[in-house]
Amino acid sequence: MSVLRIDKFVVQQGERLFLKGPSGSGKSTLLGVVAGVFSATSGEVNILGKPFHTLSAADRDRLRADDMGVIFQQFNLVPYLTLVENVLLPCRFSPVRASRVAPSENGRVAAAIDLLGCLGLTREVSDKRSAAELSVGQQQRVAAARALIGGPSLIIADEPTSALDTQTRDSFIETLITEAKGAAVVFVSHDASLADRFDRTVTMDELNLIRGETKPPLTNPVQATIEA
Amino acid sequence: MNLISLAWKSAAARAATTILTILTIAISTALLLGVEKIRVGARSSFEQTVSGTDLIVGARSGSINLLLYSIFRIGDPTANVSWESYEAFAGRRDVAWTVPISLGDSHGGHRVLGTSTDYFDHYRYGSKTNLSLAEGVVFEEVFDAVLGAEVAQKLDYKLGDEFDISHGIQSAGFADHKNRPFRVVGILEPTRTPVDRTVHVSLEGIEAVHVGWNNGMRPIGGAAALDPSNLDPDQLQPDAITAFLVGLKSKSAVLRYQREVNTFRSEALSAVIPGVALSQLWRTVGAAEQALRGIAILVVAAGLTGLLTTILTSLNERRREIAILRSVGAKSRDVFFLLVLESTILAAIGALVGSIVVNVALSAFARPIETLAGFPLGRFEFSAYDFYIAGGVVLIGFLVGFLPGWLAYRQSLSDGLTVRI
Repeated sequence: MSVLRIDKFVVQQGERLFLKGPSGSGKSTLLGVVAGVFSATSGEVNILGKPFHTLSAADRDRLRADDMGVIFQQFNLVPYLTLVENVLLPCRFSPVRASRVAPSENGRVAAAIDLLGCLGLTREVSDKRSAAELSVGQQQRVAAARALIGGPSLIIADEPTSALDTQTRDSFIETLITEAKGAAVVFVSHDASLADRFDRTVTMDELNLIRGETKPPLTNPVQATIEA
Repeated sequence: MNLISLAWKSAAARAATTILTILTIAISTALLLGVEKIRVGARSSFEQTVSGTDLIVGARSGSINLLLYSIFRIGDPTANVSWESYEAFAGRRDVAWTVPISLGDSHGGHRVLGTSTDYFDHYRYGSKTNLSLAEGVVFEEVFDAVLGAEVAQKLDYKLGDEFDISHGIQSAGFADHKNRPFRVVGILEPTRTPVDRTVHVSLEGIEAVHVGWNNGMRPIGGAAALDPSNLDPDQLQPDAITAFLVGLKSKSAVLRYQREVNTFRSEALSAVIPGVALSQLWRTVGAAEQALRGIAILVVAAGLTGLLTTILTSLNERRREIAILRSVGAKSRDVFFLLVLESTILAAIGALVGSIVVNVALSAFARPIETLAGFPLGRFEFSAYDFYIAGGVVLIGFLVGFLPGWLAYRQSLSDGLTVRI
């Protein structure tokens, strides 16, 4: 059964896109397709210049490891790994990304510590705190560091601020946008008040032809029908 | 940090269940290994105990019983062999040698074996290895004794020490052969056979301590001290022995000799071929062995089922962890192998711990176990056998990981990057 049908969805390089929509509107499914975890049953999906619809699952996994960063709503960290190990997790699955961070393991560890320092977690690293000892806000910052390490081209954030208070949320978004530098950011939330911090806002109703039936049909002939 | 390290850290994060799972596998592996090592050790020990002996002749009884009491000092003879019958069969032209043995007395819980000096020349164990003396000489005088290595060590006897022997297997004050002490003149090298736990004296010595005894009862008023030089040689001539070992000049004569003993009209005797009797023994205990082995294998299966249960139970709570790994580029097959590796690592540690524990425990408690079993169990040490069993446990642990691995793989495909639990 088709759950999502999108006429056209384009994110420019370096663009900060705010994607909003109510629960169950298909946001997470769309992110799964963009991240290459789900594949479209028909149509074309081009990510970072690569035709995802023709790539194998392993190639999509590799592209995700090399060039994407993902931040979840909560429970972002692997609890049995240290903060630095959590940050360097993408390097485990991507030699390309690892080499972008630093040529040596020691260099990568130093880079992870620096990045965590930039995100205000110097003390937590030096105290060797475990992921479970951090507040939700601190955990989200570690997750941001993991998404940012190695300078990915695309950062996907799936409602990362929903568990944060207003002050922590604002600080987190500011840090994320600052540290993302030239990367495209797809930030999903149903908190419409955050929209003005991004370059562009897209609602799921605009995208999903199945759910947004009242919208006028989009002009681009390419369609992606997604099943999940 | 590789997948193995991730799998290990994941398991270590659930320390309590991981330790319990490892413990279960270790205990079950130790049980299986222990059963197998004791079984193989006992077989090897039995098979190594006697070699080069063509026949064992004793009073009419089952062949296993004759083998057990004459060679392994287990159980008691049903009757004796008269000296005349012994001489009749020992004097045959096809006989290369015979060794008479007389059992019935003990010292310090060890059997006393009355025999001739031929015992030291012809009795062989292992790969036809002769007995050899660690110190001293074989007995020459009536009250000389040669100790097995374990007897000397356990009782801390040295050459020249004197001791009394008791009538029967267990020492009982009223049945001691007091005033007729034996003197240690030789101590044998260790053989890892029942010989080590035997006190060897001459047949004449056995007769001498029984002078004046009647039907196993000591003389009224106690036995007087004996001066062997004053004894009538006829008094030291045995009337009967327990059994005798036979070496024939030709192997082709074995069956004929056996048949003639078994059909001997003057006395009800049995002759057994040691190897054949041992085979009968293994057949007799084979069913029990298989049952024991089956139980041990089932215990290992239970341990590995526990491993499977532990990993399956943890799957749901690890869906977020798996989604995070997928988000950073882990392939679905990485998720599969992560679970398989975890299962393999736990099985490997369990098998290793079990192997170490069983080897250390069996080495440390070898003596009490042998005492309990009543026979030597061979040497307990790491062998290829340990690696086969431990390797088998690891292999099954690896295969067991396929089910949770496959489930996690399927889960990772359907969950994608979003897990709603």
